[in-house]
Amino acid sequence: MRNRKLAEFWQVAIVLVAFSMVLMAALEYNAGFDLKIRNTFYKGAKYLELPAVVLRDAAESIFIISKEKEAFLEEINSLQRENVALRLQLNKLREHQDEVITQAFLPFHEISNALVARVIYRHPGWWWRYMTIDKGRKDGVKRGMPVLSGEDVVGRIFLVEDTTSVVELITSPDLRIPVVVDDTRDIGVLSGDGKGKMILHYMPKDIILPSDMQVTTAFAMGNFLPGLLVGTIENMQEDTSVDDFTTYKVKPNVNFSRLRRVTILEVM
Amino acid sequence: MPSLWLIIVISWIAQDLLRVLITPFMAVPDMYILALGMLFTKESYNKVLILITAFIGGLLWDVRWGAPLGFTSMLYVGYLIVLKIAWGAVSHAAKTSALAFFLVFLVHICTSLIELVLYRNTALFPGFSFMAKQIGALIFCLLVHAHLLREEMD
Repeated sequence: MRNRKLAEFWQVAIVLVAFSMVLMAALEYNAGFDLKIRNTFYKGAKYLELPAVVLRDAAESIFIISKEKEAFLEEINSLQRENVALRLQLNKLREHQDEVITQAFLPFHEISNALVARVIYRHPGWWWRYMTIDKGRKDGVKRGMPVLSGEDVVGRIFLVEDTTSVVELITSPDLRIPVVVDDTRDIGVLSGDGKGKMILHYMPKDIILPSDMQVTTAFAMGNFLPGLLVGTIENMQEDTSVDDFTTYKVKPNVNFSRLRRVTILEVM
Repeated sequence: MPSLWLIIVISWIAQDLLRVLITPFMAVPDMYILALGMLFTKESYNKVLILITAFIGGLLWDVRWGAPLGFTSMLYVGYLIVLKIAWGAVSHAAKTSALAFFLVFLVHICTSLIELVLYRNTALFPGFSFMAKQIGALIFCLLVHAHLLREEMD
């Protein structure tokens, strides 16, 4: 009985292997008949496989969302890096622009030598009084030389060292410059208020000066030349009138917050 | 004792669904033939019937998954032939369910290797796919083994 079963097993096994081989040999792969069988079978099986297909699609969509998020974060990082690089580039361009403007507006080419210097320090306690530049005695800087930004007065050299100098700013209360109001030709004295603005003294009380009038240096005093731009009148100070004179608040033309380069003017 | 036909149908469908789910990332363990292999080692089942069932299941697999018709059926029949020889070489006293589990899994590795050599059916690194398939097969064998063992105990 056992041997009969064994023989039966081997017979069936050999027949099935042979039949498989015949199938492989006889049916051309992807031929018409082959494809027809497969399509027919798939039409029935696809309903059976529907849960797996749905599950796979859901998993794929989660995977894709995760991938997209990753790509999005990477793009943000990339843009941030690009932003920093552009900021650096912009700062360099601004510095270059300042330098070009300083060179382009060098006044009095015929009568003076100009020396371009970089602002290297401003003491927080003396913010509106002094600043330090990177040119000194070795570069030919002398005490009293006017310091400009473009055509506008910044101040004058106050202290000279070998490689650096201290500039006294026009907003300093200790610096007094004779000036003239361009439109009316009224002459007065300008001094800083120590808070970023200036005060114009000795203006006639009877004529009220409108705001936005230009104030320029009046005389060739020391190393200053006449006609250098200083600032614009903002308003009259009501409670400071003495006798026949009054005072005005003047706004400097120079933007001290963004001042990086200055020109030292040496009168020949 | 579970019905032979129920086991056959469930294991074939499970293998098919798993294939749909994880293609093309990794190969699917041949759960169908593993289940038949585990039953093949039991005296109570008709060996010829299991052989014919393996052939039909393989043929359907070929039809569904695009292999040349007859390829998987021959592989499955070959699998059972090898298992028959190995199982026949073991003495009656040593024929335990643990050994059956070991042999079934070992023959699965061999057939997977043959399949791997003949054609690579996954997009990923074949070593990874092969390992994943064997781990899946091992887990499945353990589950079937545990099920059969519980039946014996009962």
